Amino acid sequence: MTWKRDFKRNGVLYLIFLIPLSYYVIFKYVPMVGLLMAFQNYRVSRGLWGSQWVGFDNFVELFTGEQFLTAVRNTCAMALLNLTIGFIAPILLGLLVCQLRSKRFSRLVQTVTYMPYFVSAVVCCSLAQEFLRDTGAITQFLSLFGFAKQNWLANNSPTFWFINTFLGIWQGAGYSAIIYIAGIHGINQELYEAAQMDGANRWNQLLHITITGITPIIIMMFTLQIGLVFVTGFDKVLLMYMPSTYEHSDVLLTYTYRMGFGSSNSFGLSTASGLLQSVIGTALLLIGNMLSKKATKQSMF
Amino acid sequence: MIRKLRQVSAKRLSAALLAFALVVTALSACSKKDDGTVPTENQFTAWISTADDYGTYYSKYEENPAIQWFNNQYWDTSNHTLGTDGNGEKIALSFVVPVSGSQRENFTTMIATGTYPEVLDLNYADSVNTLVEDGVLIEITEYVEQYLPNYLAFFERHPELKKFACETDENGKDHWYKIGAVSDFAPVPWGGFTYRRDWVVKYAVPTVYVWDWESDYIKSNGHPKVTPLSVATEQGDFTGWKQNPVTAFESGDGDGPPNDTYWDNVIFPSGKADPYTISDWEWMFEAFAKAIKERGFEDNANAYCATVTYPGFSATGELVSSFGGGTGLWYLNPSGQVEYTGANENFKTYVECLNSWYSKGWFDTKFETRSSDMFFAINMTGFSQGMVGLAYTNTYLGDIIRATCADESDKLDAMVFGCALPINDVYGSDAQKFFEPDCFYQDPVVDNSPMGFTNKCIGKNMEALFSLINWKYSPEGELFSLGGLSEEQYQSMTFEPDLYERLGITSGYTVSAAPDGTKTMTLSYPYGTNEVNAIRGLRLFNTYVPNSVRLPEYLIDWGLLNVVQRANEEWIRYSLTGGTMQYRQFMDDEEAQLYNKTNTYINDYMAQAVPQMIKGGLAGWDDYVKRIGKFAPEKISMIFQQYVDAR
Repeated sequence: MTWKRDFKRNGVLYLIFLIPLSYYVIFKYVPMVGLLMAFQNYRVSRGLWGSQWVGFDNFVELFTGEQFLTAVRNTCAMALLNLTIGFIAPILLGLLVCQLRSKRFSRLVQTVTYMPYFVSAVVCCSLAQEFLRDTGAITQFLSLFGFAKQNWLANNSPTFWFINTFLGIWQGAGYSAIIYIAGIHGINQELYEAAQMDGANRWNQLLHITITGITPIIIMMFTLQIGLVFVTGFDKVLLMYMPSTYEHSDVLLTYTYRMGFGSSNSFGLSTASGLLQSVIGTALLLIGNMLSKKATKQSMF
Repeated sequence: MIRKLRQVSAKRLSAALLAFALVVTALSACSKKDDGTVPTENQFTAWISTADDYGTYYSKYEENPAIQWFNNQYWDTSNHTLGTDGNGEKIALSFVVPVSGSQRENFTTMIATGTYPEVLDLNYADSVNTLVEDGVLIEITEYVEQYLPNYLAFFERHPELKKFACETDENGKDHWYKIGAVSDFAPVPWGGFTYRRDWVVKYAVPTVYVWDWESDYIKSNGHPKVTPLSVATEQGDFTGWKQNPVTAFESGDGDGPPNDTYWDNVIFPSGKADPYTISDWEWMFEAFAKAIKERGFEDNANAYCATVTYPGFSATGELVSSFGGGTGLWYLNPSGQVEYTGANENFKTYVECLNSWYSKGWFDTKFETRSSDMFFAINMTGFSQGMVGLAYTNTYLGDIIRATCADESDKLDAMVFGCALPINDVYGSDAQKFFEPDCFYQDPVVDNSPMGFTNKCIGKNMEALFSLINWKYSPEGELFSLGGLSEEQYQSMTFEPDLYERLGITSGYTVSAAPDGTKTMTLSYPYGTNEVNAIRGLRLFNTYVPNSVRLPEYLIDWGLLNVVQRANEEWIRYSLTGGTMQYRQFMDDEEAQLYNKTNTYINDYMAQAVPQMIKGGLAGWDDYVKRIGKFAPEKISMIFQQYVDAR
């Protein structure tokens, strides 16, 4: 079929397609021209075409920053925790919810776990600050087990990494679990009946039918997650960290935010950092996809 | 045609009409408002970083009664002042005010997209020089020289300040690019260190000896031979000391507001009625500690004797400069040299002092976690509940404490007084003692962030605009800047909306004359209140630094209560001479970038290291100094120095 005939037949569909296409071109591709700022000493009054070209100076400044390596370490640590504990939590939640026999209770659990997703990061972090201060509820609870009564967010230690991860889980696990729950509900019930007839207990059913059934979804979600792992959580870290805990709380995005927009605007430096993180994210996405293809024979593309 | 129209369904016609209305409305919003009476060249829009109404009094700044009045006047370009219908021209002023918190973003977007208006508040400009260099701001020398005689008269009175307002080339020719607020005398800061005076009365024990300011020794040396009192007692040398005439403190107040009628007989170890030295402060802290203990606040992290801003120091030098000078960052020392002072002996002594206070349990144990508190509102929860002895705030907090605190006696008695920065008489070497603080937060006498005029002014009636501005620098304009409209000005036109009517006043101020000819200007609202700020159009070519209007012919009744007035006097007890920020405006783009980068790195590191030393001692001082050295702060000192030397 020639493109003309195709267009004639599906013209309306193409017209409808123009709307999202325009959105992507206008709001996603055209702004990419701004990446040039990463290689410029960008001045707002001179614009993109009038600013001085400085090559890789912004990247050099970024890499040689006093706290760059600390920020990279913290970013990697928090990313790792998000990819492990943070990634597994919604799967577990989804599996547990699907094991509940009472539909009403199941819905209640879903609603309760889903709701924090709609709480803004500011409120979420304010709650964390309240609960984790030296007189906060969580601190009081932990003190029952011998932990010190302290402001946990002011504790300059890797504790911050875990706080950030668990806060992310509290806020996002319910939302992320929906896709797994939907996937589990989509598994053919006859498989379970057959397994029961073959003598499989619930654990075996879970392991060999449920988890196997949602493996493609897990792979897809993991691949998507791995590409975003360096850029998520910026707002929470920014709202919770403080100078005295930079050593363990500062991440690449907050570091860039301070360097780029601290005393004044440095668009070049912040664009360089954004570009760097996008490149790393894309590389991780491709690597994750490739590894998945090799290990499980399943991949996104 | 009619038949055809009938064929169109009613729905389609309605939809078309609605779409048309939408387009017309949208397009009309894009057009500039033209009131039809003022020609386009006389219409000016100003971007101002904030309005003064706090969202309470008007929906847009044009509704400010002062602006309404300006828009109703005629400006005489021949005499550079108010004119009449016959000899003047009207100007239509409109304003763009960004949403609070988005000023920098808004400013940057305007510059990047070229959508800036004729007049810009330069508070959020990274570099004025760059805006001039890039052609955004125009040179206004001809207008300043021809139309602003009142503004130039200020620099004739203060030629030493001209260097902060204009550039002078190698031929001695002045080049003006901006105009801004000026002040004939040091402006009063709106806040400063404040302390619980009532706790001093209740819990402090009068010392046996106090400084004898009438003694020959103090008259010659400014302080007793041996200080503090504990050391003088140890050595038995009371030269410059005298027996304290007060043996018990008492206080009271009259029928009026406590902040106006309060009195006491407190005398500090320095022999003064207000805290003067570090040992005075420490004497207070002992009293505060007793007060906190008696109230059972000991385990409450919000209760403490004293605090400073969260990194443990303030970039403006509060308290740091008490220890021999310095700000913790860049400092212009008394010999005219700019130096970085965050790693010198003075700063070390400052940290030692705070560490000592921390060790004694006087200092806020959570200060480094209060990073989201503004420097003027540190731990407001603790302060307003009456749990804090000393902090950087304002004196109206006494009212808040009396209304909100938990302790019943504090509800009745709480009294917050302002105090000057202390003079160090305890810590460090002799070189670091008895040095008058020379760095603290204070508006400069020539505004660092004035108004600039953009290339959109080309072709506009700058003569009329500058005549208006010149009037604002006149004595009449000074009255206006301070109080708003006089009764005559208010009655001269109809205001819509009428804020004066809403507030129940007919003028912003009144002037009364005594038989001896002395004129007293009385504000309708106490200075500094939201109301007085809302009625006087301060943001329109902010011609005077707040709290600094010069009206030599008048006695000014600022409407301030005694406690506030006394705090104001304390906060300007010393002169700000060590600040370097006024020289920041002269940096070119490259220098500004280096400064910003170095400043960010250093602040980042100090914010981590200084709290550790305040809390844990100075064992890591040498490493700290080495790390600071890596940021090469001396490069910034050199940049500052060249501008200090050149001016």
